[in-house]
Amino acid sequence: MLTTTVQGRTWNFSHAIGHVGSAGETFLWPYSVVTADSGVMYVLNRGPDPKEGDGNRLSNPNFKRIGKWKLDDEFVSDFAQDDIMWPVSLAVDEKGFLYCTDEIKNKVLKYNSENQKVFEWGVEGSAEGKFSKPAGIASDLRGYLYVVDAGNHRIQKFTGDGEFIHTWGEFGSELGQLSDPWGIAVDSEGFVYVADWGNNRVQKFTGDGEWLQNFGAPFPEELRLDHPSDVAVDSEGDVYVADWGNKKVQIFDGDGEILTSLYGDATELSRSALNFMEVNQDYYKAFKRAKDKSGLGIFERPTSISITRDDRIVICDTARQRLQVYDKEKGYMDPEYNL
Amino acid sequence: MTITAEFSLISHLLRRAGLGSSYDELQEYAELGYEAAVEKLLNPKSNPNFDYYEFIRRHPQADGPPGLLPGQMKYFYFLLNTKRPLEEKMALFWHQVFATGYSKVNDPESMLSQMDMFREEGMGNYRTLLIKLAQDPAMIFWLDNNENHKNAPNENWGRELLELFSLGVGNYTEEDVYECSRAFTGWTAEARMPVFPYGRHPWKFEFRSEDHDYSEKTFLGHTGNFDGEDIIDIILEQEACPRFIARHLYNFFVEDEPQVPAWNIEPPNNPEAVEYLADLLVESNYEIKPVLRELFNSDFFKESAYKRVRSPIELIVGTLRLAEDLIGPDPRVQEAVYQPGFMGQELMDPPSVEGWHTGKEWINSGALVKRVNFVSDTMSDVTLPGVKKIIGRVAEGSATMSPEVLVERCLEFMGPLPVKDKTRQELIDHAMEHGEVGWDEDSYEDSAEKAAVMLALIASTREYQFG
Repeated sequence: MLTTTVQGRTWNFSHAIGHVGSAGETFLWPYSVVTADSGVMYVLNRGPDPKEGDGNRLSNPNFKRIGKWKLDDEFVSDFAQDDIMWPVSLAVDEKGFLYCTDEIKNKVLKYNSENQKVFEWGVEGSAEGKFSKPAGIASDLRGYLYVVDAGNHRIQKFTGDGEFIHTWGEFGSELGQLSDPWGIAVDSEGFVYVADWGNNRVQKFTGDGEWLQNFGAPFPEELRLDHPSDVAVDSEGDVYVADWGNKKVQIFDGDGEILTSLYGDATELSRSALNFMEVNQDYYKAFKRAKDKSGLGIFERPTSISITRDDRIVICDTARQRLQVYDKEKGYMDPEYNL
Repeated sequence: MTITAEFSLISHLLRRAGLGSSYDELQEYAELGYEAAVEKLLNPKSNPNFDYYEFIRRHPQADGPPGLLPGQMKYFYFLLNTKRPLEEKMALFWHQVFATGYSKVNDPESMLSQMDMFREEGMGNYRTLLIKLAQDPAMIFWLDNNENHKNAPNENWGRELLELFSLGVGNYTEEDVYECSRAFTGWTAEARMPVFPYGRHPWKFEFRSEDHDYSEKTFLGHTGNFDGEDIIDIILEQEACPRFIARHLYNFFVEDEPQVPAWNIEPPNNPEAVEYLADLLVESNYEIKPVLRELFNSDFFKESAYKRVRSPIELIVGTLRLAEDLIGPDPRVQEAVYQPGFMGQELMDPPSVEGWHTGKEWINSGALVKRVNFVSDTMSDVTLPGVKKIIGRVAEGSATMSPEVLVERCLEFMGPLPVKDKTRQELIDHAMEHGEVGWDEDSYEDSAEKAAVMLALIASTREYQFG
């Protein structure tokens, strides 16, 4: 088992899910992942852009889709193919509704647990409730939604029915200001974390938008975040940042101190990849012939992170067209008390 | 504004040493003056390029592509959005000279790595470029150097190195091809993981000592234990080499030459200019940048405006940059990537190692229809930012405008584009059907549509096909 241990905490690599492909238990640029309490997991496939002859020229139904999965690597079904153009992010609320942002349509789409679209809202603009390239989306325990309005460099808060509540943020690099933000997370206490992509940091706010804290200092250079795309928080308050530009996941404690980094550990083929190789022996032979497989397990553009209540960490390894799953051992003890 | 001779000259410079420009960019370069504009182009690193992260955030399929189309899209995006026009144009130049094709390589990532290498080295030293080319995995696979073994030499790379990449037909013997090939045995690419199951992993150059022929070789009159680098050094000593590269530079930047296979029987259009550039190459020890500096400041370059048929890439990218369409992330970019192929220039997939046939051969009945339709469709779209700006400038300072003035002003902002008297009269005849054009608030929208039709007509002229 591949483990990373630091400051009393231990993360064990569990398994990889999926491989490159355009249907079923495969992925084409998995761009967002979200886990639900029901043991269900949704994976958004951004897919390639359209090409002539696709029929629906701006959303090839084969490529752009939301896949419904079980976290233990069981594919259930696909949906949303006809709805989405440039989908960015997923969220699930306490009632099990799924939300998806689309940065070309400037909309949020809402689905029920039967995968049926029940509602959508949003038009392009900068007024309250309007969007310019909506990106990350997250739900808090009370059912409020926080939507990253990337092109307007702000966060907007809505009810689950799309009723506008509140907004904060503006373009800039001062505390509380944002630059083309991307991912967002809400912890169990209702604090909001925003991946401030253009400013190479994560910012923590209250649910009303009051700035609290930054994660990711400019120095030392080797620990500097490079365009973080997403953020997630585990049950013990550790903060996980998809360090998109650096192709790793950085883990901070709740005080903003860096704990460690994950670089990807999927050194074995996933179940679906193994199945594919066994029926495509030419590829399997080519794969076995490769002398240097050192790059097999590492992340190639981790984009999205989701963490279950029992601290299973799922990471979209976007350019490698797979998910990597880690388990954090519960109940760690700080080293100073572990004498 | 008054169009000066220097303004027209800088417009010519940006079409040839770049990929065309918006009118705003043209003005920025014009404010520098001609020689300073040349220097800016020659020093691309002083200009920050477009935001690559923004590009792959919105087009993630360009980040580790499993297929040709996303790879082509990535290259097309560079062409459209570059802030370093000459760097990108030189990459296209070397892509044409050292033509490598996806149809065989079947790996867009390796093709794109080769393009990166051309961007990095394109204005550097030709010797360095040849060595990196010989070690480039896409080229190794394209010309079978991975099949070039000590006990079974494969001559493909060795032959093309001499015939198409450095000397030209007639300047070497069959024995030289064989000996050259032996010197490159063992220069190969290591086996890498395939596209399935997790996308491609990059090829890397690998020298296999046990597969290299270390025995004596005789090449172009020299005898010794030569390896690939020695062979390249001997090539660079040949008189034919600087002339061959100089003729390529002249053909690409100045005036259409006959196709490359005819160069051993057809003399250059301007032998003095080619000789001048060849001498510069030798004097500079094959540094490309000083040669380009002299080329762009030469009279033969300045007098060559509109003497070359625009390649499909030059035509499409130049028109899109002028109209400011598809600049920045846009889902339509992927579809637009098809256009150069429709006109005979499939990105990253030239028809053979000889590259594309250029000049008049870009034009046939099918390609011409595609070319005219594309440029006229683009320039007639009044919603495009660049078209809007051109129309605003056409209208500037005039309450009303005669058909003759409308035509003149549209021609100014479409290049400035010189046209034959007959063409001008046809444009005026069309404009006269609508009479005077008014630019007051009430009639602006209607007049803008008429101006856009005029821009589309100008884009449809024979003259616009040249650059």
